[in-house]
This record gives sequence, structure tokens and C-alpha cells, in this order.
Amino acid sequence: MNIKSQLRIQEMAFMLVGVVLFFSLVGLIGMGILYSGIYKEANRLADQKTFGAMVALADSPEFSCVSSKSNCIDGDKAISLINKTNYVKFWPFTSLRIITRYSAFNKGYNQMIKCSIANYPNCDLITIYDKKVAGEIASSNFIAFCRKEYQDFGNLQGRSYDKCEIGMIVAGTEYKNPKSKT
Amino acid sequence: MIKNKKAQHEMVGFVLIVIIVSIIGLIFLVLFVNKSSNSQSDLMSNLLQATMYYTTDCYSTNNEPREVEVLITDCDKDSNKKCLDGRLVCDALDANLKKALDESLKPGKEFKNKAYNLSIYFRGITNRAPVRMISDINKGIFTNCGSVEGGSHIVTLGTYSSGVISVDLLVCKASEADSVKEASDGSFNE
Repeated sequence: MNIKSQLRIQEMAFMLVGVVLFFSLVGLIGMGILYSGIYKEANRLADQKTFGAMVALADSPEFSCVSSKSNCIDGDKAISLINKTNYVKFWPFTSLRIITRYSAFNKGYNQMIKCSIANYPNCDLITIYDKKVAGEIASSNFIAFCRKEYQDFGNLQGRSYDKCEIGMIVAGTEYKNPKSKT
Repeated sequence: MIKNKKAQHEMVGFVLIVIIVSIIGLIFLVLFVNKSSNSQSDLMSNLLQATMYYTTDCYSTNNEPREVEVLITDCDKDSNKKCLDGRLVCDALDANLKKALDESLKPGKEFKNKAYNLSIYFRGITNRAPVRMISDINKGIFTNCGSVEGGSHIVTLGTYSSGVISVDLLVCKASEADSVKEASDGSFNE
């Protein structure tokens, strides 16, 4: 009887050890699948945070349209911010750019006409600032890019009106690389 | 001897059940992680909002260019209304929207955005069912989507209106398995 019960206890012990080991392996595989993209997830969260900040940026006093349109950037305000170094530390982005019209969305960077005071508004890209960080993710959001346009009727008559295009605001955040030491 | 065999059978049966349950659990886990989803997208809603303010080439009778949102309400009020150049307001609306969305989304079977569908309709304030269709624009083939992103925008018609105009955009995104090319290289490196 003693031997029998001891055998039973031994059997149960071995079975429990086997079950625990097996479920540990299953749990490890499950965790490996669920958490395999942890750096990817960290970058996605940083991207989401940047997107939220960008949406708020269009409605900030530095960019918002005079006519109280939501998600609208005033081009005449934006062009005056070029080469202003004060704002480099003000916003939490590594770079900030505005594409002024939808015809430029599918152009490469080198094909875009860079905006300056001289060629505005006949240009594609306003670069507010660029910290030139190595390893940057760019997040973008569609905005209405509006400016004042003058309509000339001749005989010294004319009027100004709001001309709006579909533009894009592009902000950069630093990319978290698993191989980097930071 | 018989009792030993019985115990062994029981153990094997138990182990088999545990293995089967674990495999089923793993299959559910993999399916859950890889599920394709329809989602409301802030990006698409912002695109719609920006499109509403877009200045079109349709001029009113006092020679002022109209915004898309104004064209939508004009087209809803009177489908025979015309722009200064003689085109119907509804046709001008369709043409301007198509051009803007084609350039913004760049749909195509080899791109990230495979297709889109834009619906503009009048509906009741609480009831989402369309009462009156204003415009329906489609581009591309809306099948085998990795995911579908959507956005919507409401155009209010004033305090005394019985309804609102709803603008809904659905975009069919390519799945990760599809080989897609970027419409541009997307980088700003000099």
C-alpha cells in the first residue's frame, strides 16, 4: 500500500512538472509573438504623439488662419517663420515642413520648389526648421493651406479673397533604433 | 499490470488534451494579432476637412471662387445651378473633388492606397441613413483590402434645417503582403 501510494505521488509529481514546463513554453512562445515588435511599438507611439502635436499645431497662434477655419495654416504667417531660429527649441519636433499644395505631394524632395520670400506663393515646400538629426521618422497630416490672393478686375479695381489649397504639414521625430546606445 | 496501463492511458489522454488546447489557443492568438481592421482615421477626417476649404475653379455670379463646402450646399439646394463658366455646380464639385483626392491619396493597385470611395449625402440629424445622394465618387477597385480607413465630415445647414450633409471617405489600404511602391520616396534628405 505504501509503495502504491508513493508511486501515485511520484506519477502526479512528474505530471505536474511536465504540465508546468509545457505551459511555460507555451507562455514564452505567446509572449514572444505578442512582444516581438517592442521597438516598432515604441516608434509607433512616438509617431502617434507627434501626430497629436501636429494636429494642435495647425490651430496654434503661429499658424492658425485668421478666418477661424479649423485645421488651417495661414501661408502668409508660415512664410514669415522661415529662418527664424527662435522656434527650433519651442516645438518638440526634429524638423517641421509644410507642403503648400497637393500637386507637390508626389514629388521627390529635390523636385519640390523650396519656398522663400522671393518666390512665395509659387512654390511647394516651406521648411520652418530642420535640426538635421540622423534617423528621423516623418509624420504628416493634411491641412488647409490658405493665403490672401488678389483678384484684379482692371481699371485699378480688385479685391482680395482667401485662396485655400490642400497642403500637408510634415514633422519629424527621432527614430529609436534597437542597435543605438541611447 | 492492468492498473499501470490504465494510469498510462490516462496520462497520455491528459497530455493530448493539454496539447490540443494549447494549439487552439496559439491559433486564436495569431489570428487576433493579425486581424485586419476597419478604423476611423484622424488622417482621413483631416483630409476631408482640408478639402472642404479648398478653393475651386467654379466662380459665383459675383466672380468669387467658391469653396468645396459651398459647392456641396449649392449642389444640394439646386442641382441645376451653374458656375460662371456655364458648368453645372455639381459637375464642378465632382471634378474638383476627384482631382484633389486623386493627388492626395494617389490610389492604384500598386500603391499603399488601392482605392477610395467618397459619398456625400443629405441625412437626418439623428438617423444616419442617406435621404438624398449628392455625390458618389469612386476610384480604384475596392477588394482584397489589408485594412479600410475611414473619415467623415459633417456640413451643417443652419438651425432650421431638418438634417445635415454627411461627407464620408473610405480608403482601401494595401495589405503588408502586397508589394507596393511609394508614390514618392517620402524623404527630405538633400
